[in-house]
Amino acid sequence: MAENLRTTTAGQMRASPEMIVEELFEQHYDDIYRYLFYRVGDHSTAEDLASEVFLRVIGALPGYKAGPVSIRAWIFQIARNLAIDHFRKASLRQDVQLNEDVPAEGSDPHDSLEMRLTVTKLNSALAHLPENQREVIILRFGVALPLADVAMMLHKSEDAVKGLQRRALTALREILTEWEVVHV
Amino acid sequence: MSDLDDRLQQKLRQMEGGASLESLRAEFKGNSTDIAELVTLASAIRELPHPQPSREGKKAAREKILAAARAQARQKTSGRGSWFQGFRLNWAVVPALAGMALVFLCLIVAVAGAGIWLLGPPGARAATLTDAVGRIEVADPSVPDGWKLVSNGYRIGAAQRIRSGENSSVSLVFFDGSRIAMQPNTDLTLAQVRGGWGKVLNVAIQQNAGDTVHVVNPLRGANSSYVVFTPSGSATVHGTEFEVLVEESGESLFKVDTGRVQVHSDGRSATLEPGQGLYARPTGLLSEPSYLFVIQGELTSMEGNTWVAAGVTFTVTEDTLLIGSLEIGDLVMVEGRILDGAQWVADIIQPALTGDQAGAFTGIVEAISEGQWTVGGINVLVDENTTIDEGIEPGMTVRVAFQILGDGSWLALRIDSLESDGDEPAPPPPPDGEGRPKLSFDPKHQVIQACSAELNYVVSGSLENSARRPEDAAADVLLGFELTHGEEYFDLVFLAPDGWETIQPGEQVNFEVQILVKEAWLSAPQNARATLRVYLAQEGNDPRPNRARYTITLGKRCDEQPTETPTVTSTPTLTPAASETPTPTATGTVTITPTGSITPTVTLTPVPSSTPIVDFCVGAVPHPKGMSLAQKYGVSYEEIMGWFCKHYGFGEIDLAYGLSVQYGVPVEEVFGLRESGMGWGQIKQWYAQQAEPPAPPSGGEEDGPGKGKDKDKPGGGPPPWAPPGP
Repeated sequence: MAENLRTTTAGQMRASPEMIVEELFEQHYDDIYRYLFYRVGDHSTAEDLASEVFLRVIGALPGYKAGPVSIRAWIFQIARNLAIDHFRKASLRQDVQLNEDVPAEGSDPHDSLEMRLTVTKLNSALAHLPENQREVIILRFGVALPLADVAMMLHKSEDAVKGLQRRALTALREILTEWEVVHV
Repeated sequence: MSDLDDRLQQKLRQMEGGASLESLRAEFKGNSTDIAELVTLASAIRELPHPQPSREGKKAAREKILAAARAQARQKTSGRGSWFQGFRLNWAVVPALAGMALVFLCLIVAVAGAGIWLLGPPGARAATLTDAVGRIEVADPSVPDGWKLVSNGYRIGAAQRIRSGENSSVSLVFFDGSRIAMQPNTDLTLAQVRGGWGKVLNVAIQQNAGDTVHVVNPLRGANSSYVVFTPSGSATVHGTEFEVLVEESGESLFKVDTGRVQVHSDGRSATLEPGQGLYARPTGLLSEPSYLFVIQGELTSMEGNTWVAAGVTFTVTEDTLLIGSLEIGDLVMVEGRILDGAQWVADIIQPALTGDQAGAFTGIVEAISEGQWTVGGINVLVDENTTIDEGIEPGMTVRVAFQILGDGSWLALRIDSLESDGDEPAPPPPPDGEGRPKLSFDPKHQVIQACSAELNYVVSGSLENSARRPEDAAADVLLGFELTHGEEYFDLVFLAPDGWETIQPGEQVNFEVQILVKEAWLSAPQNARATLRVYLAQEGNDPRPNRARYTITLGKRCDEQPTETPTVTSTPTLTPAASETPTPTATGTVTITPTGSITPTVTLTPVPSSTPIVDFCVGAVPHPKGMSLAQKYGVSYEEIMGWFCKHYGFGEIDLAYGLSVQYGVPVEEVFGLRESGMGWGQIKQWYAQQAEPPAPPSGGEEDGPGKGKDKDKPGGGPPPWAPPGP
């Protein structure tokens, strides 16, 4: 009996919009946070934006129609739009990005004694990639979105994303090699 | 697209499908070394321990998002707002309405004097916040997250929405003394609030979520009304104490303590007598009015729908709200209704606050005999220690508080009558209007360079009554605060204490302002500012306006912050005196140690004039006008340009500083008036009026129309730019 007890009204166990949102939150929040972290490089901002993503999901959910875009890709699309919006506003405010999670620009990552690939080094290396290459790396390998979903999000063909993906990995490898970061 | 792109994707797909890196590498031959390295890199990225959201952050986000989802669901279920629709304009009758409006306008002009009367008593169009604990916010679309932190003294007017956070509560007090106690996690909209002379009160509340307790003074006149709407029903009262709980499901529980409450839902209605409660369902169904119970004690049985706590057997239904993970042996508090005089049905079961085994229930007295009473079919023992209200007879409604004895019998501890005795709850005593206290803050203005990684700052202030006559003691003084700039950086603000029963003439009382800033402050840009203003929200025995203010600004001029350990000197008074000529150091910089201890009196360091100048909305070259104004008023160039960057023209800035010097008020206050919507002419006029000697007291006729007018003018009660009622 006790395991059935929840902080809710017992008679509320039908598929309400709230339950759908809860399900989406449980399934995707961590990945959305991760994606936003790699985009904005800041834990707190990533959490704030991740919350905002789901608030927007609540508002937009009635308009969502299952189709070629998976709901996961749809949510990531909202996250991507928010990230773009965040940078646009930050640019207008002339914010200076200072965060302790990412090495400041100009720091030398191979000063570290440990030369394994880490999240910090990856983030630092990603900062040297063009925007679309960085996006592909994060979406494909950071949050493991299928190629087709990434293509939808970036409004590109799958073939174009395949090319972008190879160029992005190649460029990243070169940066990490230059920094003597081991990733094998 | 090249062949390499396809081959890479093929291998990546295999990797994503679960193929091991070793097996993939074994397949690479010849010139596939390049692809092998890329796949290896991709695999390495995927295997990284990627960042995870903090547990607390995720929990908070989850609650916020689910609350939003619930709110939206409720909105749809209840069609909230539909009861406003009766006020929508029918465009077909617009011309006729326009004509009527013209006539009406003429009438208004003709009876301008009477118009003030029509406005009703002072404060009748808003409720004042008191007893605020924790996080209390009102909806404000002008701030980034749409909610603005408020505190005691804030006046909430019609169509304003307010909510209390976790472990937070606040009371809303209406002009006649009626009040609403908002419990934690409660969200309501004050749809209508107005009053008339003779204690006429019209209040309509839309309760969106949470728990409210209403103490409504008996309404006077046929025009009075007090109604609480919920997603599933409404309660109309004429003087009573009752509680409304809106559950997550949209169901509403109405419970009455004293008086009577009429509950309506979808064409149905029921009357609740004292001690009764009922549920209103979103479907429009109303449960039968029932007497109520609450028990507290150990949960000893959970057999199916029949549970036992504190020795009392009760029923758990699918509508029972279960809070927390409950198990046998837990100490619980159970609230519910007594159906058909026998079946005890639990509405809410939650962990108990104490370990006491006791309970209470309401019902009608059926029999009274020595040593035993029968109430609602239940026998309870009474002994010499039982406290019993006088005059209770069979047929009357009572509340019985009892404890369970070792043999399972119930011993009444108290038996209280719930019958209305006709006594009205006493309204708060009106101000006598006799005293003329002179309250002022010291200091009036502090600027704190908050550059460390701390989020918690404590600043002190004092309030002095500089009056001399014994009868000029200030009574029922209450402080409030408002965020005037950089609202997005504030998390919580506490004033401690925030009120005093009396401040004697010549007495100075101290208080602390604890400011918790959000983490966003740490990454706020250089020269960011966050300003709050403490004001006198209430001065019980002095209805005259008091525009005393204490402005606290957190600044972020970090590269120019003195690093020496602060040396305690004297309490700074930073506002230039009215008589000073234009060379006051109007702004000081206070460095405080951001710990829990207060560092109120520290070294004042004027902002260095040689501060490097960076892009103040006009490029890297100092603006000559900005420089000249800085020199004219003895303030930093950065301060002047800070106003300029807020879209004030140099002419306006000159005017504001001129008024600041002329009338001895903080320049933030002058700009605050401007931001409240007043024109510069009105601001000048207002300060000129304030500088005139105050009118003699009018003899304590608090409800006089003249004073009502004054109350609505800037300076009446809270500051004129404080968002209050209409």
